[in-house]
Amino acid sequence: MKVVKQRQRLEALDATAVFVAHDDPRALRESMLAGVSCPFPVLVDADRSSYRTWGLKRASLARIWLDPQVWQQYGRLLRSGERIRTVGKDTRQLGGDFIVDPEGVIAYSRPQQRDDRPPVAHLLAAIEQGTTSS
Amino acid sequence: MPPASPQTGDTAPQLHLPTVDGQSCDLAALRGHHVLVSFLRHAG
Repeated sequence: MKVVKQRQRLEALDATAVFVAHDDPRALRESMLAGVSCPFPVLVDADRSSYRTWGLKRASLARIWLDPQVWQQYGRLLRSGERIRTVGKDTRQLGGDFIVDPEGVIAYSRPQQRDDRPPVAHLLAAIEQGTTSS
Repeated sequence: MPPASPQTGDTAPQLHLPTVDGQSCDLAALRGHHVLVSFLRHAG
């Protein structure tokens, strides 16, 4: 959700964002969206059908919780002031980031392999690259 | 086997879901813009 803070930069690139979550709306409002004014749509995919359509897998427990990079990432987030929030109903469902160009074609594809997500700056650079080459 | 994730150059799969506010959102309606589609792992 760090993308939310980059709204102006996205708008300057004539770009927007859509978030997809699989938890129920109330859980989302009470956790991820608590105190956050999200200017982008947050879609609810309760049965995770779109996760499957977009090829996003579920990781093994070991892949998630025995991965030192996961713990390093949590440490970084906590040190940067992120608060610990209630974890959703399925911690094994992996996410992913995609950039769709104005013609509806995938310009960037980054399905998660573990609890890894590209930095927002990386995503913005990918959009910027697409806007300058199209 | 579930489908593989779409790769660069593929047509984006459909994405039409309700929003957390009870509205409806269709990725196709956002044509004409670059769209970052971010699937979240969980609500934490």
